[in-house]
Amino acid sequence: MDNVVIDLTDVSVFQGHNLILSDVNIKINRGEFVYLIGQTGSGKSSLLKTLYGELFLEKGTGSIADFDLSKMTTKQVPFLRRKLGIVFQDFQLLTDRSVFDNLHFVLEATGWKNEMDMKTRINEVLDEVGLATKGFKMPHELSGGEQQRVVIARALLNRPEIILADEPTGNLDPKVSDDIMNLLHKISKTDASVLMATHDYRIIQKFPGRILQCEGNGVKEISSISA
Amino acid sequence: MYKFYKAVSEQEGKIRKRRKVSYLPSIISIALVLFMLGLFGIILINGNKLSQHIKENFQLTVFFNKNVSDADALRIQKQIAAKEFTKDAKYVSKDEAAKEFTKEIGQDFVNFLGFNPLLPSIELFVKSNFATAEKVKIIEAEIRRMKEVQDIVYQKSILEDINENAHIIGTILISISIVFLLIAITLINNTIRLNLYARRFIIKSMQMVGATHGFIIKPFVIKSLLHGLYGGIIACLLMTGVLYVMPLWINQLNLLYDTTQFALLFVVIIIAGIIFSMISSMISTNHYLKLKIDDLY
Repeated sequence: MDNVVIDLTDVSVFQGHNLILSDVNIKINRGEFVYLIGQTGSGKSSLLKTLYGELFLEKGTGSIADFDLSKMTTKQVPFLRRKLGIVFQDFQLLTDRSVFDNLHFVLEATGWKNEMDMKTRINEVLDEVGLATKGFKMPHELSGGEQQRVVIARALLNRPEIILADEPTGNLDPKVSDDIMNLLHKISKTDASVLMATHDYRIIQKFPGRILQCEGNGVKEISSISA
Repeated sequence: MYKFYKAVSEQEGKIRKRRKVSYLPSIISIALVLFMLGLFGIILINGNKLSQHIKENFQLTVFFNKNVSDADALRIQKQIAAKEFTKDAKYVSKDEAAKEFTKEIGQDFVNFLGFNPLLPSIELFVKSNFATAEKVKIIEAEIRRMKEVQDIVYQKSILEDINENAHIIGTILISISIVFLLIAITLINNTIRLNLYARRFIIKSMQMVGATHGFIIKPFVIKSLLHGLYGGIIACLLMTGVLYVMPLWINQLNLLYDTTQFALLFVVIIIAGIIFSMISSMISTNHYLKLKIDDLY
């Protein structure tokens, strides 16, 4: 069972008092690359929110990275998030500081103390996403693709077990999207499982993986998509 | 690698500069609000001093029996001067009173009458906190009990007027100061809330990467502490300027100045700035920490 990083059983997801998804059963193993598809409003984001502690689990049982979602408290949420890497369009970089400082902040916030270790780790992740020379830039000085790479670098800092990605290629052109997808795939092979919500069917066809579809208040596994 | 770090630190310097500039308006707003509060404090202190000054210039005249010797009168004067209500007690002998009166009417009446009908007296000034109708009445009774004293005279209606006016003005000033305080708190709170509103997504992003509430709040609170401090210092500098300039317009105003009270006011203003801004940044940051993502837009 150690291999399962996300395990949801009979989960219902509520947004306020509205039932968004019910009877959700998902198991994701270490190293898997999983797409989450579905129309806008079908509950993709709410499901992801439940996984990273923005919405609490009210019905069913679930665990993610050894955290019991049904017993999650506000105090525990930061510690859950340290084991996840979150790559969202909305949660961009801290716009008031450089790339280096963005990454430095995360390490500081998650309990790193040794300045030398921090610098080494920051350079490692920047190198991994191919931005070794851009650490001094301010976020607004980077292109969309570069910013998304920094967000991925940020997600990788604490060697997460799972990367949760919500439309990571949403605003990017096909060429840059492919670069980001290559990066995420590389990560899923070596570091972490990836759960990625997307609309982009072209990407799914080009980079195959498991597909979960949100539809009609439920989540089901499908083998392929018809575009 | 060295070059890279150098570039990073140089850039960090630039960024820090940029950040300070963007906080300047909020420091200035805090400074101006505290300055307004401080100006009012100055008015309050000077007003209080003025009313004290007026009250302590209220005169009671204690007349002795005409056969009281100078020595006895001086003994009584010493007794009265030692009382806790006494601000000043000045003995005026028969001869001095005659000289004074002669000067006033421009005629040597002692020569004219052949004797000096005036009584030796004490010009008594009481401390401001005893200058009320009731307390003066008690003082009067106490002094009248002395057998050497023939009469005690003062203008009761003026005393009542002074006190009534002081009471009305005091009430008005205190009401206004409460209003000013509320305005100050609201404006500082709004300034800081706007600052944090602009950073609400940053706060959310910090939460998303696993920072605890305490870790996120700390730098915001420290920053607002510094802003309150800077604002307070600027306000105090402005107030010092006003204190220097005011006596140029209002003659002899500086005679009323009380350096200790002004120093205290400066300390209070700086501490108020720090506390107001710290508390509001704590409340605002907490507010954005607790908001759900969808409520940020």
